[in-house]
Amino acid sequence: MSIKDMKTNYNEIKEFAALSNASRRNFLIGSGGLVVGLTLPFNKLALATGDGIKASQQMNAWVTIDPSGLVTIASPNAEMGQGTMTAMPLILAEELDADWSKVVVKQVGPTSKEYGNPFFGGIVHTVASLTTAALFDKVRLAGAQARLFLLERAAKHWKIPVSQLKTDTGFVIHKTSNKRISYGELVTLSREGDKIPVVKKSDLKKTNQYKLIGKNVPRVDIPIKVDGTAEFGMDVVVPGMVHASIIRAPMHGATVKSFQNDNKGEIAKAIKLIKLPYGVAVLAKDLELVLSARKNIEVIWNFPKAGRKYNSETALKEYVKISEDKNVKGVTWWKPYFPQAIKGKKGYLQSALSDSKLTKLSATYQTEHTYHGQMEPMNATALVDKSGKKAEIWAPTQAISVTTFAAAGILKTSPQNIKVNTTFLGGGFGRRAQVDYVVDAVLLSKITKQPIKVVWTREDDVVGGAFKPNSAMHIDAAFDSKGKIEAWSHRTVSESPLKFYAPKLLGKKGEDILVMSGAEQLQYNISAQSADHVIQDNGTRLAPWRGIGHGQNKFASECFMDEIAVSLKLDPASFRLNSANNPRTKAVLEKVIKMSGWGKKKNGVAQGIAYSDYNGSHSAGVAEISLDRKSGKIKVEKYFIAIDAGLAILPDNILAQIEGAVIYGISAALTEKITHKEGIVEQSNFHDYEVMRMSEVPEISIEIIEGADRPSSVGELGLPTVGPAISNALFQLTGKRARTLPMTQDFIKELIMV
Amino acid sequence: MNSINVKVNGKFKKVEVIEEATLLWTLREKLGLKGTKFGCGAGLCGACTVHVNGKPVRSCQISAESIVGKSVTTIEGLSKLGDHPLQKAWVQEQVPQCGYCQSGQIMRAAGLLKKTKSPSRKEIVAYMSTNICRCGTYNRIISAITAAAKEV
Repeated sequence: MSIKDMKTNYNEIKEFAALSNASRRNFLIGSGGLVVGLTLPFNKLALATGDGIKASQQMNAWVTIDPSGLVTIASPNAEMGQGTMTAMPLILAEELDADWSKVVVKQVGPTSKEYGNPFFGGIVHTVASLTTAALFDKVRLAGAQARLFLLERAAKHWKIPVSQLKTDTGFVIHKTSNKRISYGELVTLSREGDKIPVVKKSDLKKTNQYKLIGKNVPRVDIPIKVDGTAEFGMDVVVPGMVHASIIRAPMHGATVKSFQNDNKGEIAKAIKLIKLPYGVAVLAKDLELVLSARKNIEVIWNFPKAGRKYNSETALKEYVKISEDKNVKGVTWWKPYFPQAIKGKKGYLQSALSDSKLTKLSATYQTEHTYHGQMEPMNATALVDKSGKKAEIWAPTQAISVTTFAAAGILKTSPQNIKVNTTFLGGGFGRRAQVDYVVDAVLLSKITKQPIKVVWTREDDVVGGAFKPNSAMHIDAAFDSKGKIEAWSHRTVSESPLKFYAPKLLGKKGEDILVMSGAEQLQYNISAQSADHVIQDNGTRLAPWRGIGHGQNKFASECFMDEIAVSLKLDPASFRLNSANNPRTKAVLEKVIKMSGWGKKKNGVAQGIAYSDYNGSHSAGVAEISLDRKSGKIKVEKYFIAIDAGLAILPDNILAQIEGAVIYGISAALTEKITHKEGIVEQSNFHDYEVMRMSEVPEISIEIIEGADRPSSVGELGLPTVGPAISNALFQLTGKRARTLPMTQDFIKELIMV
Repeated sequence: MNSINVKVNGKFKKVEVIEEATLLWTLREKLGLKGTKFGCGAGLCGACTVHVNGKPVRSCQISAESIVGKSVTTIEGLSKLGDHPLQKAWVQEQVPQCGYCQSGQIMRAAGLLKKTKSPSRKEIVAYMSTNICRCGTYNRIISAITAAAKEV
């Protein structure tokens, strides 16, 4: 589906369905469609209405320079702590040769198609750790184009050829005379005869010419995040704003049958109630009044029969059975993304799996639903104008363009009529790739014709959450006595998040990248392999979750690599090194082996290793754990991780991202679990959904390897090794194999008693 | 609606609040002090931490009425120019990621430094484990508190 299709199809979007993501095709195939050489017209408005000499000048969609030399760089993506607001402008400033101290960053809406992510069919969508990787060339070219424009203007001004000029940190300089003119002064000169310079990738700087990239420039958003002034969605104030809180359906598809309002007197007068299909909205000027009044309203629901039957505990047992049933057919995982699956002789996989000369091994793994637990609960503010065809939205969202499509769908108008103001996000982790909270605000503003701010409580956020699906993974493999893997067959059984919230983004046969990513073992020498997804549908709410399919699939495959090594009495680290088919995989493994002092045995402490790729990046982790056998509590004492995400734009920020993802991963691996009973989520807040606190945090050592001259994914890269590394360490410590996530105390107690 | 007088960041203000008003929403909605965050509403995460009479409390768990006659400090009042040693250390160590929990973290840490001049790592961990950071900035928080303790 192309961006054009998405726009023309928005009317088909049901009002309450959250469309998201983008072109799967482009997502998977990658960067083949990148524009080389920008042909942007200058902002004609700025040219026509500027007062000639004093006006600032827009160079292209990304950058504007004012006469004082201030360089304003646009940041269209969602800043949720990953540092995009610093990294992307920094890359542009590098090519512009700007003075970083004079750069200001401006959060902008999805107002130019130049901001679109080519991996997602050209929409602005901040997911899958793919902003820097996908827009690297685009912003470099924008910076280079602006620089060339300034060079040409200086050449015209001094009446000398561009070849005699160079730039240095905000100045154009005549090479021989050292005559200098600032970028600020250049924009004040006559604009007559200006041409749009065309730049090519070959005009871009070489890695060894970088002055800003790789230099640990401090993040631009940090000062306002320590004094309380950074504006999150929760902090938005719009004049005349009315607050709303929705008593939400506790199950997907449940509708309001009736409700009883026990509010009396003044409170009853101050609030307004609006019945939506999926809940009852309580509205008032005073937010605290809204939150208080909703406690006195009881809603009776119509539950969908199928959903009511869902019990996550029994479902997962069923998934395990299905995963082991050879008669069940699954959807084959994405072939173009998975070249080795179709390599080799036809039928070799099956014949190797039954070859009596090879050793066979099988195992089944399982993982539970997990919740994002982002610190800022869902919220959004919307103002639909009197015509009902235009709206302005303020939202902490990863799904920036989709917000315009969803609102346009509701208002039956064009996405161009929707203005989005992206605030800071108090965490995203995939949850904000959906737009259900935006839909709330737009619907209520459409009905009331007032600016509406919808705030979810934490309980709304948990009970009405959209989760990572629970899953069972079964792997069969055949290998020779030296550990050469001949055949590897991977199956994942789970629901499909894309089927739930963006079915158009599924592959033709229902392939769901959010479940199946990481089921391919592309970095190991495996003669033949396959992976398939047996799709379940139990009507739960689902979402992408940090690390997507890699979370459960690498848990299974990297535990399984250990199981193979153990069965052959091979060292798990050496076995991986010998199986690796490329130098970058080997390099991260070698690095983490060295960092962790792999192989040293200490009393009561054991190590486990795991490797994972992610969107072209590589990581290898070693968990060093101890175990309190009485309580079954695993303590991760140390975590070592070596990563290679190619060119490191902001190395210190990469360390922060990796460390955060490791902690997110340990938290999920040890305690996090959402359960459903009769279709309803049993948890409600941080007391029964425990996330990691400081007391449990290990010492974390990270090393960065730059194995390429381009950046690749960082934000999720730290996560996939964690679960398997801990489980593999537990095996070293106890001889027991935990094939289940999370490895809760009760589970471990039972496991080690057997 | 009740009318109450409160002292926040050194200034006296009169606010109209509902009977069961909490300090959290009073600060955010009535006084426009948005730096104090709503995280869980149940005293579990610490994002709403402010000081009452110099001690850190979870503002979602105490009533607006209970602070009458007391002095409240929020992140906005911690320093005049955002230059409290903890705030400087937070920038120096590049602590925040999404940043949503950090006002609460800083106010909690300020409470610790009032009580314990140079806390050990163990003391920091014990005291700060009340506050959740889902981005996982914990180790940087420890470094920042350690660095700031040398300045206070």
